[in-house]
Amino acid sequence: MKILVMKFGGTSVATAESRNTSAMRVVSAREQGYSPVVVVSAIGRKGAPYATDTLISFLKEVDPQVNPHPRELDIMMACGEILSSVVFAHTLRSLGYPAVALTGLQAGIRTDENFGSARIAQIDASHLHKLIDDGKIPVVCGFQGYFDDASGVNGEITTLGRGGSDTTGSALGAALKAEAVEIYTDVDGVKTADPDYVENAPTLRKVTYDEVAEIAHLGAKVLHPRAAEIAMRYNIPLYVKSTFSDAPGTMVVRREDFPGRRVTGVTHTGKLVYLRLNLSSMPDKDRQQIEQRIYDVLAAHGANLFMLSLSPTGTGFAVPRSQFPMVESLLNGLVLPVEGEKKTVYLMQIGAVATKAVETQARLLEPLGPLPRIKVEVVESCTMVSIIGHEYLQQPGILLRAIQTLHEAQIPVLQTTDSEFSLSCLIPESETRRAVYLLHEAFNLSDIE
Amino acid sequence: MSKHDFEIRPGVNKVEVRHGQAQAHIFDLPNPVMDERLRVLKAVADAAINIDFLKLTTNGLAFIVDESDEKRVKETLDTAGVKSEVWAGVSIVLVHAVNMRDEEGLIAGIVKQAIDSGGKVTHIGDMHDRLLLVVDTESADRMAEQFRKTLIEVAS
Repeated sequence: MKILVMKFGGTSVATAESRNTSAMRVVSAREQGYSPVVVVSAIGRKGAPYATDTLISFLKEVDPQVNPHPRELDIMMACGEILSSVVFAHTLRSLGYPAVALTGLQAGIRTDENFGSARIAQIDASHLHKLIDDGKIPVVCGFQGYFDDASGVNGEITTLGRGGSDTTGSALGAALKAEAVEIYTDVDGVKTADPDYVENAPTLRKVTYDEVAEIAHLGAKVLHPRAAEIAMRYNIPLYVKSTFSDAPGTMVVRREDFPGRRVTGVTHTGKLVYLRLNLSSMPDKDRQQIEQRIYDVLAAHGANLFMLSLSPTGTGFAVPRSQFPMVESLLNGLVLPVEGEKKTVYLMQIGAVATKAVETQARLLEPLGPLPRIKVEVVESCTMVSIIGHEYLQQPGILLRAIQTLHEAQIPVLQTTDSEFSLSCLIPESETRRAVYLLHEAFNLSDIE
Repeated sequence: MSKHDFEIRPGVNKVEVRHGQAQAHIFDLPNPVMDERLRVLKAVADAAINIDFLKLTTNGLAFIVDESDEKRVKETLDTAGVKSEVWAGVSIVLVHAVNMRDEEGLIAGIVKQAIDSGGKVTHIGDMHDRLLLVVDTESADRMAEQFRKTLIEVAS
């Protein structure tokens, strides 16, 4: 039996018309001899009446000061996919096909106990197999699973975190030993750049699991890296396709099956704030202790760091703009007593001008003696543009070409970072569109296949 | 069957060390610094030397090369007439963690552990499934061991 897992994202199930188009793809797969297993996201994207964010807002509106309990939050978030699966199953039934809506629990997706970001521990696919054997089309809720807690409560609902429906699709593909997993979205596949920034950016016919995971890691939203990881681990062919066109889409394959191309694409990350700490004037021992404490505090509060740098003169990192107020409140006015050659108390100051809070702190600590300031330079409104590729990026001249392209266009490069698969430059956010376009042209990505 | 059989365990799951790198640090470049940085990169590219972990510093830049290129890169930088230091005995510690970006605070936590270990970290890069730290070879294995103890064994 040829099983095909077909995952439909929010825009593919947003309206009756799009659900019908999606359902017809399922019908077509069945008529081609496949046994389709459907996975659905919640209906619509942010702002839509049954989208996950809307459901969360019901709880947040009760009292914005009180965070919903993670368990209840997961139950609430799971409702979006439950609703979507029932409507989609009914759409298929109305077309004359025997579809059955299933929750994550009913599909046998057991997870760990981490509400909000659960990992799949095991999938018992027996019920799904039975439905398939009976000629039914299972329509499974993406993004959710369950666990039985030690105290005997069975079927606690969990959600899988960001990209959870892609993860469900890949995981079911692996558990069912499917012929393939098809991820349906509103774009033709994985593109060489954001088509909003590069008109006619080509769709890549093939990419490796690693490439697509790196593309997602560095900003593109087309497929969640976790789904790619699972497909790679279980060697399940994965396709990214458009619900709304017959374009062949992108096939995601193992690296052995596709040696890849030199440069795969250009991505851009969202809004970042870059913080640079000048620690050059203090003894090494002091600097090390200060860096330790700062990163300890940032880790404890879940700061998501980009563009990290450590050097004898200081350290720097970028954080998403949404996290900057939290980071600012943690570091501005932070008092750091350090046991070096002598005991020194440092005071951190975010920005060139001290806030009242920092001045008050300084005044209160005056009896301790001199209070050296660690001034943190803040560069707001940054973004990260990245070139994704293979080892080619380390070849002579590639970094030069990337930086030179931006420099010649008078786009300031504030920092760079690179890895085996990517080269990233931190630039002013206002230059994102130009930078993506120029890098795309510099590496001839318009001609890619 | 363990709880994490189906998906790879969240957090750090493997630590590796790659030895055999050399660090180049170019400093005190005259203004305009970016033009000078590009001139240095061009000289290195013309010499057909692979570089990695490029970082911009206040008045210069830094990168690593394969240890076998240490001498050539030093000669190239000298010929370019820039102030530089090139030293071998550099390693890369690779800390593997799936989807590390999704785990808030994980990257900062690894950096904190790296500093705790006393190793001299000169550069950090990240990929979807790993953090790469450039450190002196002397402390690389010690740092890796500390990561294994604090980030893998504790989580097990």
